[in-house]
Amino acid sequence: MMMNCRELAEIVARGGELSLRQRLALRLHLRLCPPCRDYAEQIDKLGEVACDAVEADMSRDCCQETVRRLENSILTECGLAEEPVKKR
Amino acid sequence: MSLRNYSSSERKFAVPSAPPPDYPDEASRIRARDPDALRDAVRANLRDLLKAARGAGLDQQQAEEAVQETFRTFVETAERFEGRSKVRTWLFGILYRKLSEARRALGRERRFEGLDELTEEVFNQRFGADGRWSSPPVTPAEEFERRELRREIAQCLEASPLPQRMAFVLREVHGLETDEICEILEVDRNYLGVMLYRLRIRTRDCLESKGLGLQGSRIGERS
Repeated sequence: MMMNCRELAEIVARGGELSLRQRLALRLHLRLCPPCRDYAEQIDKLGEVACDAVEADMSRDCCQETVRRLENSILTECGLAEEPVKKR
Repeated sequence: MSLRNYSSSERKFAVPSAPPPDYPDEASRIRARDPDALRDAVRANLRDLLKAARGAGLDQQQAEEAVQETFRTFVETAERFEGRSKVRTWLFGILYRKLSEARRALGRERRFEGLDELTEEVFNQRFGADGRWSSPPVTPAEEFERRELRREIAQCLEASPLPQRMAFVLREVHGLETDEICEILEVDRNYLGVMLYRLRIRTRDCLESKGLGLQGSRIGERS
């Protein structure tokens, strides 16, 4: 069963689990089709770059100090501010 | 992921004893508003929630507010936590609903009307009747700087509606499994695939239209 370029691009963009049959058809098609290889690589790269972007934002704006401040503010607001810590 | 089947009488007796901090007991302690359990939930999930809110496009201050509100709702409704899902799943769900409400109230989701149809039409036009590329993806000659790519992708992601963006962030940034994402967004597996498909082809097209390189990925290295 051959998979055409359109089907491949759609499957790659959806992501998620594939059947063994789909995986084999996909791999075969990728080996034979440079444009689909480019497309699949680019789709794959989106996640990596997005992840990178969020991590960069977080490390710039959200240091330990920020997290601690927010944590304290939430705990206080919710009436959970730390009394003497009980060890479990 | 699902709870073992405790009968209600067993559960009643289980509450007063000091349970070990494993999963089913964590749920009953949260339901009982055990301050330690609630505090643990805040501490364990705060950073992940902030990251998800940032990933959804909020700035740092908006993200902090959204996360604070999420925990407020979590604590207020703790007795409704049945423990059928993980605490994290439950919290992501609250955050997602808060963000959706806010976006709708501001009318920000309205600009996406008709967008998915357009995205798919553009996609389909790249292929001939035989399903082969009629306009193949463009691969730029040079790789762009990481920093530049990060900035541009953030901009391109603005062009997608919140549910799709959240699906993408939960998958790619948080690495969550399909079932957990479906539970958070309250969609089925098939629709989750459709959401990701729409966002990914749109975002890739957007980067392509800016002439940005997306080369040297993991797939390429593997084959």
